[in-house]
Amino acid sequence: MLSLFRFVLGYVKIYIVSTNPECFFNLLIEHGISIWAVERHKEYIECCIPFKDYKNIRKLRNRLDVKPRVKLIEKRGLSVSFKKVFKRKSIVYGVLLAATINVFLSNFIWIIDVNGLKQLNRNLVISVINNYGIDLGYNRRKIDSYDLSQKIALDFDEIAWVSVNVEGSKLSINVSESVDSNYNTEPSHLIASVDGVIKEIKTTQGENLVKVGQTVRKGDLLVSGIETIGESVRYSCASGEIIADTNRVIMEKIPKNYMVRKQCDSFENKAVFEFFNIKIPLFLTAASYNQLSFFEDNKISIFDKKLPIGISKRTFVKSENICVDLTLKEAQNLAISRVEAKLREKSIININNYKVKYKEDTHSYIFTIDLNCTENIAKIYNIDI
Amino acid sequence: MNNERNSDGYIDVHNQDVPFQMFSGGAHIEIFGNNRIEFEGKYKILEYNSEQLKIKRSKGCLTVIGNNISISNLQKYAFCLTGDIDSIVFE
Repeated sequence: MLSLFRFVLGYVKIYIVSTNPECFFNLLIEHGISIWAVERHKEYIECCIPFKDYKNIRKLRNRLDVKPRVKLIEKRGLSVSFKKVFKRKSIVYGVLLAATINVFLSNFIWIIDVNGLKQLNRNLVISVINNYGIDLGYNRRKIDSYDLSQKIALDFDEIAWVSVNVEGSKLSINVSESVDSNYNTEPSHLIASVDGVIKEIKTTQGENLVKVGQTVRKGDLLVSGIETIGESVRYSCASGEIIADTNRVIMEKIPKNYMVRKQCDSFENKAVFEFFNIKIPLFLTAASYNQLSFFEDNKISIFDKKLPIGISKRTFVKSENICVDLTLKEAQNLAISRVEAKLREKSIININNYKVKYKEDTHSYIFTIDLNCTENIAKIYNIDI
Repeated sequence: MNNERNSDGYIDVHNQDVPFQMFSGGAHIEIFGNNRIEFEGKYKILEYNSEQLKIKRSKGCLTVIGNNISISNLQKYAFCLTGDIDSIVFE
């Protein structure tokens, strides 16, 4: 322990050449200088003394009538090493700067972690948090965990419980999703929502009443929620997917003179330098074109982690509304793309083929599209007991 | 501390909880085998070489004779001596 203490404080190894070294030792001892590892050799004495007392030795030496010759052999210890390091000011400033930056940056959020998600999308939760102004680089001391957790819980019906914790520079959001409120608990059948030919049956509960290849009409019973086991009857919530080929006829009206927004060649770039929550605009005048804009976020990233430092650029493009005379082919493509978008909302699995018929009046084309689709036709029908 | 005094008015040093040498000004010397001596008390080095160390203490002198004698620690009121000790002489 003592040797460790000496090493931390630092010491010097010296040799003393004198005809009467005892006097010199007595003098050192009187002045409270501790000496250790004293070894007598033929012509000199070797010993160690604390580093801080080394300068005093030379003064004390002059008090003696016979001045001993003192020579330094080596310096040892942490304080000696540090003294060498601290002589180089650039290192000191570097260490201080690093410590300051470390303390400064530890006040901000660097990682946002969302745990416990099953059905909800992580990016969706993060985008909601971003809407409240909390993003990477946000001051962690400004985050009110309770308030934020309440806001998130109110924004998502799917979330039953949420907790927000700030752990150092990490914002941790723990979510527990609620059981689907649309989940049917009452006894029910599955019936056909449209006419079709059954292609695939995936029943998870209930008694299946149809076969693959069978043609069903709208309202036909597909899976029964009443199961007969021996002499007893059990009611259940029939569930599953009945995939069938169906036919749909959809009408779409497209005007001949179609208004479109056309992008012009002239554009304007506006860049903003972002440093955490500080945004410094790198332009003098406000944007004059505000119809169309493209946002480009160039933030510095390290190891796939984006830092809240960088330049975000918004390009404002001049655009104008022009009236275009659509050809029949163009109108048809537009009608089909609109129909596809509508069907996508209705969870149509696939459009197998389609036939298009059209009528024309003075101002518009009227398309009748006959579609052959693959979709889930099962629909819940509650049983009145 | 027992402050009872004898008939002459002095504190009886033999009747104390601490060693009576503390009152008499004597040094406290501990000897570990024949290769280590720890000394506590006031002293001055009179002579030192690899074969002997002679010190002046409050009451007389102490000479340690041996081989390869080295001082492992030297402080104002204590020192520690190591080496092959042959004899210790109190004068």
